[in-house]
Amino acid sequence: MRMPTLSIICFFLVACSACNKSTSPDYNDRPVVISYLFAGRHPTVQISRQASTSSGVGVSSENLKTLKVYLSDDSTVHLLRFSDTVYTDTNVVVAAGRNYKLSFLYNGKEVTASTIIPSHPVNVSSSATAIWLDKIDESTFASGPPSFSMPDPVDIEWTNDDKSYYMLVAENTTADPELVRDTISNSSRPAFSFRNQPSVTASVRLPSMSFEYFGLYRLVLYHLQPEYATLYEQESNSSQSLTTPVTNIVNGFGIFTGINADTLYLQVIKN
Amino acid sequence: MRKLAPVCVALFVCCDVSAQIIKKRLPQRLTRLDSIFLRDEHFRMETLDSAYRYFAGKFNVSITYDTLYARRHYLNYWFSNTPLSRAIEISTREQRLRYSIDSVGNVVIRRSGKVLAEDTVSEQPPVQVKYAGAATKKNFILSGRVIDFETGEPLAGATLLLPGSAEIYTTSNEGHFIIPNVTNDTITITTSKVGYKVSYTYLNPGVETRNLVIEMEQATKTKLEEVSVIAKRPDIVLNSEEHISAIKMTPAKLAELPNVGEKDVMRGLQLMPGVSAANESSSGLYVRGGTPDQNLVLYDGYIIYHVDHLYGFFSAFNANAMKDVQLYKGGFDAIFGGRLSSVTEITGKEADKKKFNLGADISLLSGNIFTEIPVSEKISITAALRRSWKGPIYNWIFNKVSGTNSDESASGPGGATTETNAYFFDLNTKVNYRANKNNEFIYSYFYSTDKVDKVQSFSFGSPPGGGGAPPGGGGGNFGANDMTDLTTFNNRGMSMQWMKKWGKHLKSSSAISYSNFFSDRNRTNERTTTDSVTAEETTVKTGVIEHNNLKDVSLKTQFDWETFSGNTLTLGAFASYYDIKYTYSQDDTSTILDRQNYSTMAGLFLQNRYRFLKQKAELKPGIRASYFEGTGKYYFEPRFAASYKLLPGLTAKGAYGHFYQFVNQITRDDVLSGSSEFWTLADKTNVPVSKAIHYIGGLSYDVNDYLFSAEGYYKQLTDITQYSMRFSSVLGSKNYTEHFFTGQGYTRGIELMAQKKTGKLTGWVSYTLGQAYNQFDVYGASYLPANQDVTNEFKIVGIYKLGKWDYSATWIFASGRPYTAPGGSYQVTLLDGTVKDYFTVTSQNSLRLPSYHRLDVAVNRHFYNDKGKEIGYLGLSLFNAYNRTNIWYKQFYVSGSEITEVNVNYLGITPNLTLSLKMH
Repeated sequence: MRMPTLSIICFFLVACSACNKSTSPDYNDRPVVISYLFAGRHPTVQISRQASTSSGVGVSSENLKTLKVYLSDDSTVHLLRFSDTVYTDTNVVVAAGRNYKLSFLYNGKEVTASTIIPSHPVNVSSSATAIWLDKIDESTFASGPPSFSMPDPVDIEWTNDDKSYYMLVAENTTADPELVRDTISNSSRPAFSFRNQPSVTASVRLPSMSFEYFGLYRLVLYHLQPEYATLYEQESNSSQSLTTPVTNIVNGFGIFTGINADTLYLQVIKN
Repeated sequence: MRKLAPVCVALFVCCDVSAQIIKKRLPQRLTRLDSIFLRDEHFRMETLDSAYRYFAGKFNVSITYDTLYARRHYLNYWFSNTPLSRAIEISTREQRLRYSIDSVGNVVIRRSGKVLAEDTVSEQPPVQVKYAGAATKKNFILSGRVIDFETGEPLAGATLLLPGSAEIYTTSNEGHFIIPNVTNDTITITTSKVGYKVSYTYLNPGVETRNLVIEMEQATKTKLEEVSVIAKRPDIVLNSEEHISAIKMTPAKLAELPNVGEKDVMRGLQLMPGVSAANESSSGLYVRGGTPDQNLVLYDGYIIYHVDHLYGFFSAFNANAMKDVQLYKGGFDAIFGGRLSSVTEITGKEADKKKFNLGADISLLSGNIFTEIPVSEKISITAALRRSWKGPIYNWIFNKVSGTNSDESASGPGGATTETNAYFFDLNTKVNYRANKNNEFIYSYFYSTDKVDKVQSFSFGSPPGGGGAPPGGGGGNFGANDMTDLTTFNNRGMSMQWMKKWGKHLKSSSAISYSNFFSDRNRTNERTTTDSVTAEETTVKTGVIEHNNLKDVSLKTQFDWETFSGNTLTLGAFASYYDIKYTYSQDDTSTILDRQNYSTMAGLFLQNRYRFLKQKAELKPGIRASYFEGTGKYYFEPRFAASYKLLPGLTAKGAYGHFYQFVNQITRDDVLSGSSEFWTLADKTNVPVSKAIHYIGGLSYDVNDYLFSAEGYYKQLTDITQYSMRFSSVLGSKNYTEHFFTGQGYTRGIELMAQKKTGKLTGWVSYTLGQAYNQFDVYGASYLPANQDVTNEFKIVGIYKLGKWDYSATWIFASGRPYTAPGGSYQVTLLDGTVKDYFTVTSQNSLRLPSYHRLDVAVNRHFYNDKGKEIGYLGLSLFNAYNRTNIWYKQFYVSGSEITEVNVNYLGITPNLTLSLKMH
């Protein structure tokens, strides 16, 4: 049995060594559009290419700076101009409630997208305009067990009758602010801003521990469309389950969405 | 020199094996023994004496044989639908025995040596059995010859003694003897010769007084060696010719094959042609291009829904608790249904009815204890328990797969402690109650669990009046934070079966069974804060909780009726009730998915097996009809199988059938906590009932010690489902919606196998050429390779036995599986300034991973007691002996404007040591 076995093995090894084929994945040159239409501001559309796994393969000859990009609202069509890094039109102001459409030709295909600008958040209120926090540093523990006072969390509320998406982003605007908790010596400084995920709610609670710095915090409550919320979806990066992300751009990737916002301020004061 | 009589090894259930291997066969007429069938009788190391007494008792047949000889020789064969006449023939084959069956059906078995021309052996009545009747002749002359049993050569100088006489008679150089005055014709003659065993000849009135042939056996070396020779020949893999595309295996013999920590039934089946062996991360079977959820796994009649332990590196089946395993790779009988590809039927071990047995195994991965208790003559109980322990192998695999340390018990900043507790555990029990000859009740219970528990907890703040506060703590408010990361998979099953014989030709088997699979995944953070002023406690829970609970209650009954010789009609009915619940919630408040399906299913099956043309041809048409409440429709599954013996040993087989599947296993990818699986029922809206059509044809050639087989298959699949859970973009709906994409597919291939069944070196070589392609509209109109598509798979398994040792090796080669790579990537800056990366995909599964190959080797040393029975073994095995880096999957990361690719690999070289001991 030994001889036939060996020859069988050899035969199959030879046969199978010729079977390996691996080609690099295809690159499909479709543009990436990033466009946030903020109510009350000029529209901006940023168009770029995907980075490819293999350099230069499959890239079309389209010039990203000379595309004919059209933005239309309910009534008029505007041709956007390329300025600096984005396509824009300083004559146009994005208005809430309007339906905007994007369209341009790229690599022989028409790339389109549409969105509706959400309304301004209504009845936005904050439970506090200022909170007082104790500073915590090495000196706090010097004289035995300390006692702290923790203020109540800050509750932001608004009206959300149509069950749409909202998100709060808080950012410290004070120049070089002081840390609230300054105990660990050589750790990197925490971020100046924090956010929650877009969700269908009418309130958000900010525990006092969320504020890492003293100073003036700008709280922006965004009123968003569902297509923005899909950006937060966890995407797989495994070869077993990779799929193209959900996007509202037809024949392209990225995001084209309308945004409205309201701003509040909160002072974080040292006790 | 005397060769020790070899014992039958592997078995082929042939109805009509060629006469080539039979030394001398007496003229055969069809007798009633041709219509008595051994349905499924496995004789493993049973003495011939015990086997013949069993046949005589069970079938009411008279068998005359040499008891002493039969007690020293063994039968090692698995009869599956074998006529008794053939079974007798098989038992005498290679045992130097000859048999004859008279017209009434009485069987006489005689020892035979080399046949010499002058022997009229066929007429000589047996002298190995003491005659109990009265003497007829007195005082007569007796003459004859003494010969060597093996060679037939005459023996000179042998001495003959008669009872009550001091006279010694010696044979001449030609072996002749004459005894002038024999008292009567019922006495016993004792014959001795140096180097030979003492031979007792029992005279009877039918004895030829002028030419009595007395045979003598050479004395064996030691009894132990004889037994150990027999023990070298156990059956490890049995290929059933009864059913096309079927494989039988004795799990106890898996110990001989190399293993990673556990002798594993599913891993053993993966060495067969047609079953993919290159999937270390799933112990479910990928049969002929199908996925594990298309394989029905039945354990004593109930369905097991989750077969993995430890992320799929092992199966939930304890080989010590199993009697046998049958795998039907396709075209299976109308008796089975509900899955598209294959059926794995596992039968739990029944206790030895006479002796109490206790055994234990310990390896680098787990500990195992089993027992067989014969409670009374009618009742016997088997139980087996297995648990993993956090030894090197468990940790190794755990770390590899989950990316964390299973042995963690750490203290982190802020006084946080993390404890990881991970293990698997299973329990099998079986109770057999033989009420009487015709009624048997069997109760079987199975429980298996996998648990990974990582709990991290820390406290913050300080209760008023004392204690130091950890840095970063709050003020007068205090509390505790518990982070839970718990994943459990649990399987529970039980059945009560009633087997009844209604007469010679009718038997039934009825069962009620319950199967429950539930899995929990809890990745949450629970924070309890107590306000120092108001003493009010608030608990906030964030994170993800996923729960899947499947319950299945089934009733089944089956009648097998032998309408006339060679024809068996099978009729049965079944009913099942399913209750499947699946919930997925986030942050304690929002339940993203909450699904509960109930459904019932009921149906009938009918099958007729017809044998004709002198047992050479067999036709087996069948039909299975079901009603499934989930869709409100009826489903008909016609099945057909046929086989024909073209030549002695050469059989052509074919099968065709329709198969429906009503329960689907969905794999959901979750970046946070790895992929998870859950079960869902087909319904009218989202998930259709899937269908497969099988076309199978093949040839097998069984000759002496070898088996060759070639089989081709083609499976057409329709309404198969793929799943994705996406963030919904519909205003006002819940955050996530489930998307079930339906599509179609096909698999086809050719399997070739050559097996050497007997000898010191046994094993097999198998090669499969196959394709598995699917088409889903969501990915485009063209057929793309399925994730499990493997083009070439080659396996070679060899076991070499030498005395108390055996050495085995397996080598597996599989061409690479397909994978999806990103075509490009882009970044989006979110509103808070963070930047997120996205990958784009042009075509699914368009690339291939490099080929997979590995070598496993093992060495086992067996231990025997002084009666020659095996009582244990010590095994050392090496998995992936040359440490080949086999890629499991790839992960992609964006750094700057480049996409980098990182390989996640399967296990490298892994040694394992197992010690197994049992009473007998």
